[in-house]
This record gives sequence, C-alpha cells and structure tokens, in this order.
Amino acid sequence: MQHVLWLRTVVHRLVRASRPAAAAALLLTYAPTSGASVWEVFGFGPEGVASVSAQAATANDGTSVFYNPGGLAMGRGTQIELSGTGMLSWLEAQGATQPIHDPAGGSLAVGSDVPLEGPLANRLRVGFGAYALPSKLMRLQMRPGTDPFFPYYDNRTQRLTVIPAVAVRLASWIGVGVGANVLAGVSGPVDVREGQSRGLETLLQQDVRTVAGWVAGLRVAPVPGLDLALAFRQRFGVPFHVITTANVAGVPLRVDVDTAEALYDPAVVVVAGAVQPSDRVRLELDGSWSRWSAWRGPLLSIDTTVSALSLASHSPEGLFRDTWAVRGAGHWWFAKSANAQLGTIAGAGYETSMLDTSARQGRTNFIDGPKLMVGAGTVAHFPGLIGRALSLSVGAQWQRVAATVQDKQVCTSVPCAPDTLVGPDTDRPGEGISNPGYPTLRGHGGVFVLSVGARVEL
Amino acid sequence: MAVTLACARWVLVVSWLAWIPACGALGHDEPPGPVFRDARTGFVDGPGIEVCMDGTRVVAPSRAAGGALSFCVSPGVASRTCDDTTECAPGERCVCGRCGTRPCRNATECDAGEVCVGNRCASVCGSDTDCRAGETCSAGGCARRCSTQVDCAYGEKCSALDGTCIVKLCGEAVSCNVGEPCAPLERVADLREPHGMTWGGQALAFVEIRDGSACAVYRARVVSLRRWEVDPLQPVLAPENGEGGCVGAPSVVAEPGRLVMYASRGDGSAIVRASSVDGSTFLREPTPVVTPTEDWQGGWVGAPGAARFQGATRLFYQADRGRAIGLASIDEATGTLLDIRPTPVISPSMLEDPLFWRGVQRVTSPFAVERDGALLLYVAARGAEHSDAQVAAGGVYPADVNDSIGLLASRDLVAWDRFPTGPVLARRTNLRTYLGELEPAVMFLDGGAWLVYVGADASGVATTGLGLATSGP
Amino acid sequence: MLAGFAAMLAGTRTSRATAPLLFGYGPQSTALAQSDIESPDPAASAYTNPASACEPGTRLLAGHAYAWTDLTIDDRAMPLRGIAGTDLAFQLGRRIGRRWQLGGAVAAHLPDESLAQISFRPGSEPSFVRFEPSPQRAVADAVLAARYAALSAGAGVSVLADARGDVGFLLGQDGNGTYADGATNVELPYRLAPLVGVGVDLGPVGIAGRFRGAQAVGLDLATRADVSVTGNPLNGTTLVTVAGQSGYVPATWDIGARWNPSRELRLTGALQLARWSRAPSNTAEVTMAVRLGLSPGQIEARFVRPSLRDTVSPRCGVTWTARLADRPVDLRVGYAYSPSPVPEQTGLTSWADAPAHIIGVGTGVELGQAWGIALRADLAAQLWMLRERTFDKPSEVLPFAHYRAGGRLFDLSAAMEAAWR
Repeated sequence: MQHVLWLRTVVHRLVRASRPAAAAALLLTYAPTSGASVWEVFGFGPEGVASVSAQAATANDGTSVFYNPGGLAMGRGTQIELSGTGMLSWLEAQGATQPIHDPAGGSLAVGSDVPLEGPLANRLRVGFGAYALPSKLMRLQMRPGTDPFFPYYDNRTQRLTVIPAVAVRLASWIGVGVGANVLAGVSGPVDVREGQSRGLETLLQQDVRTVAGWVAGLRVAPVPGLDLALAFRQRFGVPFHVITTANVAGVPLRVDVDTAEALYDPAVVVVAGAVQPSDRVRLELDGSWSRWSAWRGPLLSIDTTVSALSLASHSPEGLFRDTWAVRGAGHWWFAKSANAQLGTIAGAGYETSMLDTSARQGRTNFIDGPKLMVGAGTVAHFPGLIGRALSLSVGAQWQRVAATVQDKQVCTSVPCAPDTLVGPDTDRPGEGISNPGYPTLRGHGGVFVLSVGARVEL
Repeated sequence: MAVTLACARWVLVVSWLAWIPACGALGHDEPPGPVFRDARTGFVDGPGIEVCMDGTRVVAPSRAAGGALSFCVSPGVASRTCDDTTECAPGERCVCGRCGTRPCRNATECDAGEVCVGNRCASVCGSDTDCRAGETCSAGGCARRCSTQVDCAYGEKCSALDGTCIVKLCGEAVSCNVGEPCAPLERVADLREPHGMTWGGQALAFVEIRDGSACAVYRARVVSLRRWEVDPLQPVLAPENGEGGCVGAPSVVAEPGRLVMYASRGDGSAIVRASSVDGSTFLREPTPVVTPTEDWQGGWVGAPGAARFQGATRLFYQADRGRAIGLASIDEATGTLLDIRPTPVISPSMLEDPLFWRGVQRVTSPFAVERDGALLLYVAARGAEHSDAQVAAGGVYPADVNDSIGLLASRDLVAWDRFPTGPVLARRTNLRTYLGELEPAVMFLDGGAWLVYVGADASGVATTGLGLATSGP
Repeated sequence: MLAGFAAMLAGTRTSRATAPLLFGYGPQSTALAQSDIESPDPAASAYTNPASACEPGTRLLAGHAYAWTDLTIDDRAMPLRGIAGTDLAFQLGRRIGRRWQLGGAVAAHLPDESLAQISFRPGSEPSFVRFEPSPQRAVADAVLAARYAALSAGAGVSVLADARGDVGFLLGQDGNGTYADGATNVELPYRLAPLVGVGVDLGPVGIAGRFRGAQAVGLDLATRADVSVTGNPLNGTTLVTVAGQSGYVPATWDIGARWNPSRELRLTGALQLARWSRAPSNTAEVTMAVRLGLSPGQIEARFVRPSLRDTVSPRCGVTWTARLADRPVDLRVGYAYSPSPVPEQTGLTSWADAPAHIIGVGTGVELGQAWGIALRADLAAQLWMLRERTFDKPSEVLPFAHYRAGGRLFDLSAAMEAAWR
C-alpha cells in the first residue's frame, strides 16, 4: 500500500510538473538561439568535467545556469565558484595533430537566493555563469573548405560565455528556471576606394550585434532522494557577415563573406534522473539528443564579383546528423567529519558521431566519430575553514574519438559530382588531385581536460 | 490599500523589466546615411549625358565607326515615352525619351555579356531556358517571340521566318520596305566645351557641336540629370563669314536682364561676344573681345571661361593650345576691356606635383565660377596620375599621360592655391587604362555640384561624348 | 527646454545615442549634468565614482536611455547612427566593524541591438568626432572599494575589446569549372582601461576625485583575395588592410565636491579634464597591396593625428528633497559647459564640433517597500545645445573649405532601483 501511495505521489507530481515543461517548450519554440561553449563540449567546472556533464539532475549551484536552470531553484544560500579549465589535444587528421586553439580559460559560477519577503520568500534564486579566455573575448575561425579537421572540437570553445539565469521554486519539490546566453556577431560593409584625398579611403561600419538565446529547465524531486530533470538548450551560432567592396584601379571587387553559424552549438534536450540512496552516494544518468542535422556546416559562404566574374561557393549538404548520448556519474563522499568532507566523482559517457559516415565527402575533409568519455575527480569540502564553507575540487576527463577512415572518389568526366575530387585538367579531371584528404581521409584521437576550482558558500 | 500599493509597485517593476529588453526589439537600426562629399572637389563619375537633337542621340565619331544607326520602323508599332530605361520593357532602352530596341552592327556596340544577333543586342544563350519568359534562343542570342508586329518593340519587325523580333537597319545604302520609314536613332557629331547654368529658374546648357571642321554653339534644355535636349535645333551662335566655319567653346555669364556669351573662333584668332535677352537669340558684337597679341599666346586664343567676380567680368582663356591660361577683365556695365594681363595667369607647372600629378604639359579650357567670395577655376591639364604599374615579370609599365580636371582658387586673382592632391577628377579603368577628361564645366546646385566634361581616351584625340560627375550627398 | 525638445522632434530623424559617455550613467547623473562625482547613486558607482561602491546595502539598477540628435553641418542633418541603450548595475556594500566598509559594483550599458558599432568614415568627409561612433558601443565596468572613516577609495577596470584578424577568399578554377572558397580568423582581444575613485566625506561637505582611462575599439582587419581564373584582370593577390581606432573616448580626470546646506538641499559641482590631445586619428589607415600580373600604382592616404585639444568642463547641480504624500521626492537640476576639443581645421580633414551648454532636469521617487525590497524610480532629461561654429580653412580648394556645425541632442533616461539592506 505504501508503495502504491508513493507511486501515486510520484505520478501526481510528475503530471503537475509537466505543465510548466510544456509551457517552457512552447516558449522556446519561438525564442531566439542560444548555446554554450567549452561547457557544452567538456563540462562546467571541475565537477562537471569529472562527471562528464551528467549534472542536469544534480547541479543546484551556479553551474546549473548551464546544466539545468530549474536545478538552481533547488539550491540554498549563496555560492561563488571560480575554476580554471585547460584542454590538451591528441587529435590527429591525416597524420597531423589538430590542436585546440586557446585551450585554457576561467569560469565563474554564482548562485544566490533573492532575499524577498512575503509570498516570494525563499522561492526566487538567481544564477550567473561566465567563461572567459585569458586574453581575448572570442576567436572566430572558419577554415578553408579542404582543410582536414574535427568540426566537433574546432572553434567551439573560444569565446566568452555569459549566462544569467533566474529560477523559481514553485513548490518544495519542483523548480523551473530560465537563462539567457548573450554574445554577439559581426556584420557590416567595408568599402575601400579612392576618396576626395585621391588616396585610398575607407567607409567601414561594423555592427557587433547582440545574439541572445535561452537555456531552460525543470527539476522535480517527487520524493526525497529522487530527482528528475528536463533541460533544453537552444541552438546557437555567431553570425559573421562582412561585405567588402573595393575599386582596384578601376576594377570593381565585391566579396560577401557570410556565416550564421560560427562557434556552433546545436539544440540539445537532456532528460536526466538522479538517486541518492544515502547521504554519501549520489548516482545520475543523463540522456541527451543534439540536433546537429540542422547545421549548415563550419564553412564560410562566399559570394563574390571580381570585374565581370561572379562566383559563389557551394557548401555540401546532408553531412551532419543528430547525435544521441548517454552519460552517467557517481558522487561518493568517502570521508565525512565536522571539519572536512572528502569525496570522489566518476563519470562515463558515450555519444554518437555528428557526421553521417554514409555520406561521402568531396572537397571537404571533416572528421568525427563516436566518442567515449571518461571522467574522474575529487572534492574537498571544509564547512568552516574561513568562517564560510569552502570546497576545493579537481576534475579530469578524457574524450576519445573513434577512428575515421573514408576513401575519396575521383571524378572521371565533367560535370563532376559534388562528392568527387577534381584535378585541374578538364579533359582528365581525375588526375593531378591536390586535395589533402586524397586518397584516404583518416582521423582519430582524443582530448584531455583538466579543471581546478574553489567554491565559497556565503 | 497597502496590498493595492504593493501590487501596483510590482506591476510597475514587472512592466519596466519587460520594457527594457523590448527596447532593442522596438526600434529598427537605420542604415548608414549617404556619404558627405565636398561640392567643389568630391566628384564621383557616373553614366554620361545623353544629348538629344530632334529625337536622335548625338554620338561621337569614335563611337560610330560605321555611321549613325537608323532602323526601319514598322507601321502600327508606337514608341512609349520614358525618362529612364527602367521604365521600358526588358531588352529595351530609353533613348531620348523613347523606349525602343537596341540596334547594333556588331557585339562591340552592345553591353558586356551580350551578342549582336539580328541587328539587336541580345543576352547570350545556349538554350531557351537561358532566356526570359516570352523569348527564345536564336543563333546564340535571346530574341522575343512574336506573331504580329505589336509583339515587338519600337524599331523591331516580326520575322516571318522564325517568329522572332529582329531589327532591320537602314541608311544611305540600305532602304526600308515601302510604308516603313527609316528612323534615325543617332546623329554623329562631336560635343565639345559644354557650359551649364541656371537662368530664370531653368537649367540651361550650351554646347559646341562640331561636324568635321565646322562647329557652332547650340543651346539645350536640361531635361534631367543625364539628358539634354537641344532646343532650338538651330545654332544660337553660328560662324560668320571669314571665321573659318567654326565658332564655339561657349561661356555664358548671366547679367541683369540678359545673358552674355563669350565664344572662340575655331582658328584661335579671337574670342567674340554675343548677348541675348531671351536666352536663345544671341546678337553678336562686331568687335572681338580678345585677340592674340603677346608672344606667349602663340597666336592662338580660345576656350573662354567667364565669371563675374569682384565687380567685373573675369574672362579666362586658353592660349597657344594649352601653353597657359590668360586673364582679361571686362567692365560689367559697359562691356569694355578693363585689363588684360600681359603674362599668363596659370601655367602647367602650377599644377605639377611629384606624387599626385607628374609631368603636366599643358593646361586648357578654363571654367571660372565664384563661390563664397573666392574664384574657383576648373581646368583640364595633361599629366600622369599615380605611380607606374609594376609588371610581375619585372619592370614597370609607365602610367599613361592623359587629360584630367584640376582646380585652382584665388581671392585676389594674384595668389592661387591648387587642389593639393592632384586632379579633382581622373578616371582609370582595368588597372592601367587611363581615360581623358577635357573641357570641364561645373554647375553648383543645392548641396552639390555637377561636373560636365568631354570624355576621351588617354591621347585626348578620340572623344567619347559628355561625361558627368557629381558631388554632394 | 521643452520648446527646444518639441522643435527637435518636429524636424529631425530619430537617433539613439550612448548615455554614459555623453549624458552620464543613470537618471541621477543625467539630471545633475554629471556633477555628482562626490555623491553618485551607489548603484551607478562603478561608472560614476568607484569609491562609492562600498556604500552599505545591496542595490540593483535597471534603466534605459534614449536620445534624439539634431546635428547639422551647413543646416544639413548629419546621418548619425542610433544611440540608445539599457543600463544594468549592481552594487554590494557591507559595513565591517565601526569604521570599515567594503564593497564592489558592476555597471553595464548595453546599446540596443548591438554591443558595438565600429565605424570609420573617409578621412576627407566631415564627422562629429564626439558624437560618433564612440556612443555606439557597450560599456562594462567592475570595481572594488573600501572605506575607512571618512576616506574611501575604489578601483577597477572598464572592459572592451579590439578586433583583429583576417578574411581570405580564393577564386580558383579546376577541371570542373570555377569555384570559391574562404576562411577567416578574427579574434577580439580584451582592452582594459583603469578606473580609480577617491572620496572624503566630512558630513555636510565632501570632495572626490575620479579617473577613467582612455578607451577605444582597435580594428586591424585584412582581406586577402587570391584570384586564379583565366582572363580575370585581378589574377594574383590583392590584400586590403584596414586599421584604426574607432570611437575613442579620452582619459578623464574629475574632481567633485558636495555641500549640504540643509537636510533638503544638496549642491554638487565638478570639473572634468578630458585628455583629447592623446586621441589617435579617427580615420582608418588603408593599404592595398596588389601582386598581379600588372600591379597598378596606388596612392595610400595617411591622415595625421587630429591634434585635438584637452578640455576642462565645469558642472554643477542642485538636488532638493521634497516630501510628497509623506514620501521623499528628489528634484534635480544640473548645468554643464562642454568646450569643444576640435581645433580649427586646416587640411583635408573636416571634423565638426562646437562648444555645448548642457542642461539637465530630473526627479526620483521612493516607492516604498514591497516584499522586502525598497524600490525607487528615477527619471531625467538632458539637453545639449551646441553653439553654432563656423570653420574656415585657409585655402578655398580644400574639401569643405567653409562649413558650419551645430545642433542639439536630447536624452531621456529612466531607471528602477531595488535595494536591500
């Protein structure tokens, strides 16, 4: 009978929880794009890195602005965490190492109650998350179309990320939250031609336009020791659109360089559950779906007119597919005392490849494969070391990309199919191929990530 | 009451918090406004001026190697009036206010990417899918399908052979069918020494039209920015006996109640003067105003440029076919010569600049205008702009010497400032093809100016018609 | 002032201009014509005076500023880009013991729709150097402050970013025909400017000082075109580089004072020294390097530094606290004179500017407590009246040899502030 009552309570609360989830889904359908950066690829903070980002049903501090803003509502007090994250790449494409540029940065995570009185007392919490590179706000790097590289890792972590979030605890067992991810893209004209001074003069107007999107989530704790979570992160892309016009000694030149999806993150839906069988152990399992199929790809779109010649680039289509991932993590506090608590975190996960390996590539040389993620970390918590609770943590993760091999096909006669390689000679198009992925495209490797941080609870 | 106030406060707070992010969505970003260009010097070249005479376009001899174009006009096919080619049907062009076909003898008379098929300029095609709706690909060019004459543009005939619109050219050697008049589209003549002004609220132009060695001054109405209509069709100033059949290079000054025109004889023997009260009938004065008397004038004076400045009419003129510019001052009330400078006022070396304008050899065709208490003098000068081109294989390709428009200014007619960075207008195309700009005339309008010039190749010999550069927003 | 505003709306195009650089941060500073260096709104202290960031309490400010511009050259409206934006600020201060206070604050100004607008005009065209394009970008300041007895000090940084990198494209030809390809590598390195503030609070009087470092958005962009197509005149490499400093804001030194002759009245005054003489050229340096089969001769223009003049701007303000229905209501009025840093123009450049009289008015109302939060609303308006100035260059042949510059700007600023003790 007790089990039936428990189940009825769980179901009842889940049904009640589904309403705000549906409302949030409806809102997000019409909301602008959003996304994250290094957090999306590797995790937010040492615990996020160690748990391979299986945190949607666990995080209730500042890191929940990314993992699940609904979890923010379930926290208490004020926490401030500073952490540093570094990445080391062993990715190889065609025998050459593919480094991750700007491989280190710092994160700030803040979660805090809003000290309201009356009906909103103890219901409202705000959070703030930021990731910054040490020397620059952002690097936007789009490669030439023939470069062999890993689009899953390339130029996805080199930007400032700022997510403020607000969360509401609707009841003691349910919280909803929403955050806004704000960044900017660049667009505008550059015109260079002879001016009134008879020298070259420029008219330049570049807009760094705000790009904002949503992160939203729901967290439900139908019974003590059980947390369920649903989170949604909207797709994100930094627009870059520069139109350069010039007059080179009477020859007009116009170049339109455009991409709407640099530093891309797909739309992600996460469903998660966590159980805490005791006060020393917590286990979580996350499933996620990422909509990579909506991505146009990591290449620039070029539309140019040089003298009387007009040319436009053609990006390949249908190369990317949605991915599924399963992530699991465990937290174990193996030593607890009044002055200190020591714990360990372990995580593992698997994600399918974002490349449709059945689609043959022509000029392009994108490399990707299914990924295996393994993480581990340690947390030391000191309840009263500096008059406040202090936690020191370190997390590490290894992501391994399965080997990719694809044989290229050469064109035998013009007009050539887009998935073939072409040489310089129209009469013998299959000869003189200089594409770096010819005759066989190969890639494999992995990335090691380390994160170290400290958190203070005020 | 307290609850109501508290609620009101929160309504205010929530609505304010909603307003702030909405502000970015409410407004729209305005596109950057037009650039500001200085009216006197910030000229930007554009399409040239179409000069029309009795419905035909005047074209330079260099542009009509095969003679003036004329085509047979089918009865029942009327032309539509227009101000711009955008008002005509696809494939047509607005010529002298009338939509019509675009006849040709060879592809050089068509635009880039076109061929001359059936004596028509047509888009290149390989099949019907390359052409617009209602057209077919015929002999490598798109042609309009037709079943009757009405389906074709003015100047076209519906060919019974293949059901497409073609053009039949006509002229002295080839005539049209009975009942089909031969309509001239062009008139071959050289347009030189333009002069624009406003008088009585109307924009007027005067231009020398030269046919071989004969020339005269004509008046034109400025119908639009790039179209002049010669009106009346007869010269307003024609050569008299003993003037060698040529008088031109008009420069017109507006005085109270009348226009005063200065013009030069084609042989450089004198600058003459005529006046008009109605703007089209000019009465010639019997005595020339300026004749070559000094050695530096080389026995040749012409191309006058007159302007009212500091209580007198200042008459600048070209001497010795470009060796220098001279200056004569004329009493406005009596028209008598007050002063003629015994030495040149402007010489080519005054425009020389080692970086911006090198090797200036001659200065011609002065155009004078008073602005803000200063006298601006636009001239054509021959020199080389820019540095030499570099050849990838090694060596240099010298910059062609060509004619361009320069500017000098003075407040006292003694000390002259030149535009510091070379010409105010100099054209270059295709990396190193320098074009010539001759015989400038400037009209200042609200917020900007028109610079009308005679276009030419780098040698300055083959003129191409009137060009127009504009300044201002 | 109302008549001037009405005339502006009747005849001008709307524009939106940055609040803090020209008008002050937040409605209080706007109304007092930025004379409140010594006694700023603590929520806005990160921008106005870092030393005030340790004021006890927790404050959150959210506001919006919108400006109309009516700047003219020779009676022709100048096409300025829009300037309007949102102000967001947070300040946290705590009392430590009896004599110490510690605190910090952040303040951001976010222009509507874009974080920054980097623009360069051709050097030979006229431009209002003070009003374009520096207003069109975001401001983000963060400071920490401490106070001991009457002395307070604060310091922090204003964060901005440069933009540099390259864009390349290739037009080539292979057996299948022509193709186009492109790549880009653009980064935005941080650009930090120091913020420092000090203050001495002696009760009815106080003095303060503030320093804001110079700031600009540096741009260094190269566009490279590699063309290898049969018969094209640009076959070869064409490299166009554009470099410059956009939207320069000079370093400013402010000294301010406050006097409270009574509980209801507060008088504020300030002097600001702006180091415009350090300003770089506001035009971009352009180079075009071509390596073609036949590379044409080109002329590259280098515009000299603008030689702007340092300016000293006096400001004063009055705040009178009245009581309306038992609630305190602040009524504010301020005046400032802003000299022009632009010297006489003698060459190819034609910078436009004129001295300005600035008048501000505003009000602030305490809305009382709601669920534990003290709320306040502030509203302000500020009018800039530029005294028409005529520029006459020494030579008639120089571009824009004679021109007149003048006009007006009008700013409206409103904010809500929430405070917790």
